[in-house]
Amino acid sequence: MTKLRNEQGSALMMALMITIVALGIGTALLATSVAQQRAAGNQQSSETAYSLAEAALNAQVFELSQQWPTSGDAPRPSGSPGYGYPMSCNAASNGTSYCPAANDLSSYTPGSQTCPAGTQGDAWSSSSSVTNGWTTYVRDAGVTGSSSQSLFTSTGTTGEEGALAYDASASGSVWVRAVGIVNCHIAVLVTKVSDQIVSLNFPKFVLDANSFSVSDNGQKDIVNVQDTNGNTSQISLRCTGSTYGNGAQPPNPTCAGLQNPSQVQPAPSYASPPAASPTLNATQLLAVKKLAIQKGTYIPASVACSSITAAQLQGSTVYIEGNASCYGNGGISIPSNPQINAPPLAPGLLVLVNGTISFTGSATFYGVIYAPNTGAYTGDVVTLGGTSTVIGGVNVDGNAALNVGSSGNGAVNCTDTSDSQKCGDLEYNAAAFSGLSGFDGAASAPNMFRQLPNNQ
Amino acid sequence: MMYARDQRGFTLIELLVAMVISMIVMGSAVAILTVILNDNRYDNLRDGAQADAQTMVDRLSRELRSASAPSAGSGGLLAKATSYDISFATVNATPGSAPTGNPANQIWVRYCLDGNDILWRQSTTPSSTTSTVPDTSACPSTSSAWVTAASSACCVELNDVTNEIGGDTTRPLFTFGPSGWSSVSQINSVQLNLYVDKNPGHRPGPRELMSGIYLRNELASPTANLTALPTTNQQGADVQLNGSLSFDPNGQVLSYQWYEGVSCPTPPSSAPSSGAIPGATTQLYDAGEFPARSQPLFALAVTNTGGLTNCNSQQVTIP
Repeated sequence: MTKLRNEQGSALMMALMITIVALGIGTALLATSVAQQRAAGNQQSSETAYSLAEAALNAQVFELSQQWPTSGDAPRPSGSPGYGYPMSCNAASNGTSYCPAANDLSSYTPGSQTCPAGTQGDAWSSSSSVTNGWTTYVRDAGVTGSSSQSLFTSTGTTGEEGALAYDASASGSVWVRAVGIVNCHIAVLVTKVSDQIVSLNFPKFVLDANSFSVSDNGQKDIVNVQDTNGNTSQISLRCTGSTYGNGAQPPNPTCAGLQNPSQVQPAPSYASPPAASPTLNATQLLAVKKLAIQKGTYIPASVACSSITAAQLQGSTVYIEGNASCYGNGGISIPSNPQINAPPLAPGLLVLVNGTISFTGSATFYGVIYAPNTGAYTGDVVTLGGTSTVIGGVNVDGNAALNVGSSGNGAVNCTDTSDSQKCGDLEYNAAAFSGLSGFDGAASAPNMFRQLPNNQ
Repeated sequence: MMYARDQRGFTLIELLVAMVISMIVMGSAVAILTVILNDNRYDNLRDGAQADAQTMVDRLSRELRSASAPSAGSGGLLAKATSYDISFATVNATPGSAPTGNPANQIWVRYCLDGNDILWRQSTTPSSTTSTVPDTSACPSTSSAWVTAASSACCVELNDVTNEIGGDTTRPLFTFGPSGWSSVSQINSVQLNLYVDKNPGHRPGPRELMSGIYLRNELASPTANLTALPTTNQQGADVQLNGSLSFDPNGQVLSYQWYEGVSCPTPPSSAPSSGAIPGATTQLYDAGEFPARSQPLFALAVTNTGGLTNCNSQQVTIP
């Protein structure tokens, strides 16, 4: 017992030594672990911030693919002197036009956090505090060929920060800048987004309808199926419950309301079977509508057709909704002698969805008139009265008809190849069909995705 | 007697034994503390090296994500891709005026690991977007085409990168996707595994930093699909050409060009040089009249907005 009591001191000393050593090892391991954890945490936060920014970027591109921001399609809030495009979008912008829906990015929404002083935040934000979350910006990419189309400059006199928040230059391109901040780590991405304009496979018929009529029995050239470049077109007639055609001129098809074979020059060929109706399906029609909206040549159903003027019919793509009152006397009527889409302008596409259009003067329309005839009208949807002329083609869906008129502009056996003398009320022009197009969304332009330094 | 014996003190033997034990304990403690202090010092050095490496990885990742083809229509974003050497064009992150012939302000960047465990970064700003990557034969390259080491703007480097230490080839710095790629132009992703070790061969082992980068600007070729069907009408046999099954893997809009009487080049990544049918720029085309029992040949070349083309051809037998 005595000996053991004498050895208690050394045991305490050894225990202390071991404890000190263990503490030292533990402290070192803890420091290493903390450093590793901090490094891994920083890396994870940076990667998550990148993912958040990329998700916001993609969501903003999707919004642009639904509706392209142009001066012709700017929502103008009441009392706002300028265009209504938001200068930026974030989670608080939910429901605002042209902004991603907050739900689309909700899985990335980080909690509130106070970041240390000096933390790099969004360089475009006016707030001095850094807040976790996402922000997107849409900016005009400048006119085609300008340096801002090739290179995104964040700030400065030529920077995109102060540019307009829509395609003000009508170049079909905008820059989208997206910022993601997670755990006080930031990622800044940018890409150029271009509208996607697709060609329409529109059948090249000078006349595509259920039937048509001519109100003259002479030998005038009323319909000319050959254009000035020698291209010829067939005529497509569906003849469903035929309304026109006296069975005599010509007998095949009987719904061709000619009163003299020479009224169509050169001798026509009739498509067999005829082209299907409708010519454009709902998706294609929507693409045309969106393109017209983009170009500012969309006329909604709320506009009375009788108030529409010839000037409103001019444009590469004009889309008129029309309504149930847009028929007969309530339809579009173009008197006098306007030249619509006359050279050097390119031929246009005029879509009249629900209604009728009548040219009563000596107007000349260059392009294609297309009437989807959603009102299921069976009369004349398009009437070329007076001495009016369409140089291009006319296409009418359903059981509706086309009244080509009677004037033929006085030309008989017309051999004019320069259009200096009109050869008929309806003249074929193959070139009028080659540029028909629609808006098919938006996509990141190839080669234009960038991750910017955090301070840009 | 008991009291006297309790007061007698330690014998020499006891004292020596106690001293020896104490020295062993103290020696062990000092040795362990020395190891701890050394490890702590190395830890600090490794932390510093890891921070430097992380900065390099972040920069490399950002530059790879912004990698872009020098010119439209050139598929593939990497000019060189090996396990320890990578070169590509990216956008200069430093704001400034872009050269006239290089409006996108692109720079050539090269990252390579030399035999001294140093990861080099070299860069240069070409005056033209059509330039090719400068010499990459040595690491680092001494070509004057790269910014030279004498320049303050040159050659960010990272030490203690031990991927290839001692000739070890089992730890590539760069690996590329998709799996099975056979040419650099096919690469669309880069996996980065960077090993940093301040004291190779000693515990603890190297620290590994990883990053995976998808090359979002990678351009993919479209695919041209066509059908050519003869149909009869009043004038004779007609041929309807349909290219609507053509597609672009990235959803880019395609432009169409039809050809008659020619086949596609080999490889079919470009359009025929002749035989274009004027104005045939849509998916569907009416190719006109053909005599009975003739066998006209048609080709379709589709081009995406990135400038990449794919061609396909088909021969039709007219009944």
